[in-house]
Amino acid sequence: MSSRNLNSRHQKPLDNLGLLIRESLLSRTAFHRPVPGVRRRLLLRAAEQQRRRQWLRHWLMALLAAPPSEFRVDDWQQTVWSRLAYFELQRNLIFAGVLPYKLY
Amino acid sequence: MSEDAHLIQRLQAGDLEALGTLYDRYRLTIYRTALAITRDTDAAEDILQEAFLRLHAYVDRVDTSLPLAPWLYRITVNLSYTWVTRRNRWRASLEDFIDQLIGPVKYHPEPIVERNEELRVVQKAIDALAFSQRVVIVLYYLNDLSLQEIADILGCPVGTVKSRLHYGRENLRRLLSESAPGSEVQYEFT
Repeated sequence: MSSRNLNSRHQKPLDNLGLLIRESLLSRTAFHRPVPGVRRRLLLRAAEQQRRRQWLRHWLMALLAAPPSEFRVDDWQQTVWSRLAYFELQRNLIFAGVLPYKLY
Repeated sequence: MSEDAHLIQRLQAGDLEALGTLYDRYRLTIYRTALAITRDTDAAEDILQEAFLRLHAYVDRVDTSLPLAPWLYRITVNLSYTWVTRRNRWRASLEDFIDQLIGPVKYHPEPIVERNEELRVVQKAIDALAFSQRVVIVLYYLNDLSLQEIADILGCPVGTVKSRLHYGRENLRRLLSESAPGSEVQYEFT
C-alpha cells in the first residue's frame, strides 16, 4: 500500500455523480474539527493506560517469577481480589497484550 | 525510516509526546472520516479519541515497516461500525420523527440554498446506504484512496470493493432520482 499524503485529494478523475458525492462529503466534514479538549483527554487517558499496563506488567512478572509452590491461587484470591476481580484481571492482562491468550 | 515509524518507536518506548504528535498529524483525517460515516460530531470525537487510545494500547503490534494510515483507517471503520450498529437499534424511528418536525423548507428561490439542499439530499442518500457501501464511498471519494488501499484497510478482495462501490453508486442514483420526482433538479449522471 502506498504511503502517500492522506490529505491529498482531487486526484482521481471523477464523473458527475462522483463529483457530487465528493462535494457533499466535503461540505459535511470540511468545516468541522475536533475540539481541543479531545487531545488533552486522550493524553490523560493514555497516561493512565500506561500506568495501568506498567503496574500489570510488574505484577505479572513478579507472579511468574515466584516458584509454583509459593503461589496458591485460592489464598491469593481470598486475600487480595474477589473471584470476579481475578477473572477481570486476566481479561485485562490479555487485552493489554501483557498476557498471551494461548496461556488460557 | 519514515517519520511515522520513528514516532511509533518512541511511543513503543513509552513517550506519550509521540502519541500527541501522531494525533496532531492524523486527527483531521480520522475525525472527518468518522464524521462522514456516523454524521455525528460527538461520535466522531469519541471515535477519534478511542482510535488513538487503541494505537497506544496495541503499539507493540504495529509494524513500523508499513504505513500507519491504513491501520488507523481500519480502526476508525471498525469503531464507526460499532457505533452505527448500536445507534440504529433504537434511534431510527426517533430520527424520522424529528425529520418530520424540523424538515427543510421544500422550496426556496435563492440559488445557494438550492445548492445546499442538493448537497443535503446527497448526504441523506449516502446515509441511507448500507454500512459496507457507505464506508467504501467515504474512503474512495472523501479520502481519495485507491481500490487496492480500501481493500487492504477492509481486509477484503479488490473485487469486493469494486462491487460495493458499484452498487453504492447505483443505489445513490436510485435514491437521488426518487428524492426529486418532477423537481427542477434532474440528476443525470454519467
